[in-house]
Amino acid sequence: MKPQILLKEDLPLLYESLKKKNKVFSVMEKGKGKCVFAETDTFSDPLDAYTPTLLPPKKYLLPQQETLFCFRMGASPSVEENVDVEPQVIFGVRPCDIHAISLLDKTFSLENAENRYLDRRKQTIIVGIDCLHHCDTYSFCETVGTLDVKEGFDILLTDMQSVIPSEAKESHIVEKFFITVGTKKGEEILKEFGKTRDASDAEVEQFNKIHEARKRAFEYRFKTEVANLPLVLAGANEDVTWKELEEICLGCGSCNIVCPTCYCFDVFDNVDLSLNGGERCRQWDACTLKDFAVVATGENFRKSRANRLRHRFNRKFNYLMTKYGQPNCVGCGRCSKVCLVKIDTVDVVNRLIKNKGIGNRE
Amino acid sequence: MPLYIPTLAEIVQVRRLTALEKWFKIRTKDGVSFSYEPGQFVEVSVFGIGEAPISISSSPPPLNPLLTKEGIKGRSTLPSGNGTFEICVRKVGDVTTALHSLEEGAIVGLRGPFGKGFPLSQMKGCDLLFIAGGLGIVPLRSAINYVLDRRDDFSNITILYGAKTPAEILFADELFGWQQRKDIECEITVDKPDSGWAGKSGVITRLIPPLEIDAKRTYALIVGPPVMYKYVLMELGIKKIPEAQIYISLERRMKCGVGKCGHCQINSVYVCQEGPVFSYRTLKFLSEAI
Repeated sequence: MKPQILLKEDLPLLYESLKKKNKVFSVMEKGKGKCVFAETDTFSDPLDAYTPTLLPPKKYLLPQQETLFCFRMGASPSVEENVDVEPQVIFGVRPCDIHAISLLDKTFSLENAENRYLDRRKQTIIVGIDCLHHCDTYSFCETVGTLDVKEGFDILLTDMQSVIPSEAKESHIVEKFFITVGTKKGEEILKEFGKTRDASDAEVEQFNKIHEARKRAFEYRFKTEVANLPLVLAGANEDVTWKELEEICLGCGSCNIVCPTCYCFDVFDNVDLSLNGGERCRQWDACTLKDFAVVATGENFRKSRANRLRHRFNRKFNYLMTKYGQPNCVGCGRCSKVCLVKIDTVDVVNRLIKNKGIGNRE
Repeated sequence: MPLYIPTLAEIVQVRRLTALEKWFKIRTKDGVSFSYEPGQFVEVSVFGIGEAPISISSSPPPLNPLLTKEGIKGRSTLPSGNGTFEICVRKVGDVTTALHSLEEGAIVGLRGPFGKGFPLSQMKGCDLLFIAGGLGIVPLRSAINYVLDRRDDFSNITILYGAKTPAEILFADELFGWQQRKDIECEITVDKPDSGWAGKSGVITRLIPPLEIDAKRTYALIVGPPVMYKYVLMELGIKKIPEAQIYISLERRMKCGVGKCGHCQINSVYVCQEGPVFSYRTLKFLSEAI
């Protein structure tokens, strides 16, 4: 489908149209300067809520806690899979989070595909919102290559007036969104909605200009090319940075919990009050927590906070990066922002680069 | 296939081995087939308590029935096949404590088998050195019985077993049976002998130096507590067994068994997928492995 144009005043209508058949989650403000994804009754413009949400939209695909199956206990136990998938829309997903969802898609579809995740994913419509401004000081999307997004969304809205107001003022001002259609499903949504029109050649050109111009607002923040990071991390096992971080890291797991690409989980049983049955649940877990690698006999294979943090950074910039050919970090900056002792991901990576002596970028 | 939904299985036999360990024979319900390799593990559920990864201790039966007949000589139990297998469980956590309370006829949940076992077929014609410390005999017993069932396929076989005390020796009748056999070597040692112990004493590593080993044609298969590996590997290094011919099974807390939950990860490796059995050549490059 050709790119579409949607008048800004019609955006609430698109939202209402999606609500007819789906549960719709979108961004809303929660407290001063803080945003969350939540199920909203009325449309709230996601553009007004610009900083990354406290928790990533991942929570609608891999919930904080979910029931895997229900069981009956006693002499003749039985199990029954718990299926709770319904059509849903995540409205206003930023490019970084779209990239993160694409990474989760890989995790749950390659090797031992997990239907639980994939069924939910299939029933999920992603309405993306392009980023034209740098959202806050912690983010580094341009650095890890997640500012541009080509896939992973059904439709992507780009605000046509955000970056070049001077040019906009010259022409007659019509506030509008440029819509990139990413999937067949996205096309169907817009056809059913019926209030968009094909973008003109001039509008396509304007969109390209906006995209080109916005790059100035984003900077590259690592001291070496991203492609070098697996090498940097692989050679940094004994780096003094880890020892320094050992002194300040609290091992609280916050960085894991807010991360849009983390997917590790814990598994446990909850028993009904009747004691006749219960459910097997899984819950987000965090590799920086003390007990993450403990085995039954009490042995802990990553006892020190430094080792656990090193493991986390390696997962982001070495292990999974080597596997998937891109960092398993999308640069949203949530981890740095939420860290109680101000451990900054970009700073840590740059310290490792510097100590390795290969920093070739300023 | 739903990855996390267990099938039901019945505990058909229970035997207490020591104060802490019990042996269970388990059969899948409704004729669900179950085939496995020595070194693999299963996820066993006690509903309401949870799920835990547990090594399989039996060995799959030979495909050739004649071989089965041969192999039965000197064995206290028959090979377990077609829907049945054995585990040996130390009472150490919630799930294992709950398992210990179960009796014959009880129903548990079962997923698996998971992981990669010992590559025994590539060891055909070679000398095998089995080294088991404590609970390590549980998965290693699977490989040992597999090899003994196919005795002619392998050359010299040596089994070393170390336990803390004589009372903690697992599968004692089988081990003493192996000691009686003329076609294999089996040495047992205990760290702390009691008055009734007439066998060897001292740590297991002391059994290695006296062995005559043809390093080039020897495979070593080692399972034991984490602390044992370092010292055993040093001794095997002195014997010049190539690192690619040393296989080790690692203990980790696999919560999902399918490479997702992250708990068993060592560096980039999911132990539940690429292990739990690894060659030392692979492990050497994984920090945090041993």
